[in-house]
Amino acid sequence: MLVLKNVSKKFGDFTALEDINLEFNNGVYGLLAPNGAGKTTLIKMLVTLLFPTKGEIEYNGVEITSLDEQYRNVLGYLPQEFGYYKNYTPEKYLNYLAALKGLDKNESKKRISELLELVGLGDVTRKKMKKFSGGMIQRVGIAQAMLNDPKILILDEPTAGLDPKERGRFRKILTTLARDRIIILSTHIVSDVESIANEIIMIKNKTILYKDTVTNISATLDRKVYEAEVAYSDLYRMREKYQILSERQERENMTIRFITRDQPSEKWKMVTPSLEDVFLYVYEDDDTLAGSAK
Amino acid sequence: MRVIWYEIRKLLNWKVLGLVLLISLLFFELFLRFDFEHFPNGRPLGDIFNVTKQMINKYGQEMDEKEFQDFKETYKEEVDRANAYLQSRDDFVEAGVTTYEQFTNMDYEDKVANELFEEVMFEKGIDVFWELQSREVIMESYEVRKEFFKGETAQIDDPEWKRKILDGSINEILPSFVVENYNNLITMLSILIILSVIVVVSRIFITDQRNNTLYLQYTTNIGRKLFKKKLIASMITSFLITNMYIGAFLILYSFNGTQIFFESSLQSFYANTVNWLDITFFQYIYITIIGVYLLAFVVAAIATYLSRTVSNYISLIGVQIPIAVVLILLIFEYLVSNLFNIAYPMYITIGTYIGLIALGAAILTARWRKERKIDIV
Repeated sequence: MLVLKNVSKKFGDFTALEDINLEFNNGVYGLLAPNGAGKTTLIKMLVTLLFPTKGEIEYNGVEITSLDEQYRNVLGYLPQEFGYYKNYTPEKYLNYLAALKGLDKNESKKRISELLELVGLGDVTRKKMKKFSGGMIQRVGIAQAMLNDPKILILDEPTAGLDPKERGRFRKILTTLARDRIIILSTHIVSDVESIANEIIMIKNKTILYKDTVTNISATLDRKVYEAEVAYSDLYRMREKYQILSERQERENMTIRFITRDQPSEKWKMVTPSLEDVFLYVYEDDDTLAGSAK
Repeated sequence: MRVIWYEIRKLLNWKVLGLVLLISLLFFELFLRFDFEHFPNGRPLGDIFNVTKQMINKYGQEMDEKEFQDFKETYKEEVDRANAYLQSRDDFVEAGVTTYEQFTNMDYEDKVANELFEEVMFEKGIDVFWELQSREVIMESYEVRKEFFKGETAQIDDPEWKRKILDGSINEILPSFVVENYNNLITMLSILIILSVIVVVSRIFITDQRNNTLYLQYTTNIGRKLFKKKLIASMITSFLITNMYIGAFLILYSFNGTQIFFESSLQSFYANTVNWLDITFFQYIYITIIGVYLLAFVVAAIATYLSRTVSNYISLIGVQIPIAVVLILLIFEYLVSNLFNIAYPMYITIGTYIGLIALGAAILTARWRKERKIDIV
């Protein structure tokens, strides 16, 4: 079990996170917040790249910095900016990282080949990575994170720059890996985590806003989300009056999805709120979007 | 060890080795080839070189007063040979030059005398005349050796040290140009080694910083200890580079044929400088090579530190240029060339080495302490 107790992080005078309390058991956790909200800061503390200014992070009851390499041995990490040597082949690069992870040379050979198969790179193990697409590089990133069969797998914005097909493939891989381990997946793309995360964590104003299931978080907007078909001439008025979640054009009219606590009009259709609705609602005019904590 | 090996292989990639090879070839052509190919450089140095080698074969490393008398006898025999040569030449007889003494006292303003001299010395290059000239230089050096030493060391108040040299190694045979040739070569070689170490080792952290692999490296089992592993890799790499250069250098230098002087003291009667240490030429070579290794390690330490702390290639180059310039100047002054020369107090030489090593150790220790608690942002 991974626990954060009253964790704060400051960079000089700037407070990135404040009094974070979290608990992670086996399962997939989606860390969902806009860019600049402090996701990467939180993740970097979880992977020991940053040290909390205040508070403690414990794994199975022991502070992670005192566990030192024992903690890092159970850790798999895919950073937001996955670094690699473009003249290396995935096989060579994974062998290097296996050495850094202290894995046995012969065992890691087998493991590397299994993992590259798992992420669909079995036929390019000896091709230089400079020829790889963004999706292929990201899959190398996942393979390296899994090298030591980690108990805690932390992926920071793993789908950034991937096309929808690659993102689908990525979610499939994650589902395969999701047994018997903690997976923390940070993203600002709701669809990346909506279907696979056991729990969603949302950060706002430097603290944890929600840590709950997709259903429960979505339920916070129950009976408040509506869809309505409006003429273009009414669109401006609707925008002024309600918080619009989405708009789509349908023939001569626009279908808008919006939030209101007002008495609903008969023309409106009440809809089941989604995680995306909550995300858009929560982070509308959010000042963390202007932040720069990484 | 596996990680260190990987790091070394990363440093020694073929592109970098190609660049180092290019720098080495350029350096060899510009600064080293001459001292290998033209040693001893012309006449009479070549003749002096041969005569001094004959002397060692005959007298051993040292020539005492008795042996000096023998050397003078040999000189006289050579004079007789020169006389016989001159007397065998009608043109010299006709010009009234039948002895070596007359030959050396010829009026070179005179066209005929000058032509005769040019022919003997340069066109035909008659060995005995060059050899005699060489022997005269050697005899003169030997005769004034003590005065020269006393003059050079007049400011040094250490009678015991002076007495020891005057009673011993000042009689030894080692032409100054042999040491100068070695000094030229080892100086340029050490500069080449330093530049190569900088080029190769400077990449140790910065490439990983630039392409974000540090995030991965620092979250693995090795964690913050990566700094130590990379430092060891830098040191081993600089050791390998230095070994390679020193190895190649010693092979090439062996063709200069100076081995016969290895056991002679640097304080020989033919020395044109005085050293604090009364050591043999071989010991001097040994010490300068140790000095080169130390400098390579210091440079590797500084390059590793800067590679970790500087954020881009331009800054890394910019910071290292003044460091390299200062080191090169010090190498020229006393760190390798003229090591232990009395031109500088010995504590300056030793102090500079200790200072450089202490500086390297201090910045690395400070960095290692910081490394354990620094945020990797």
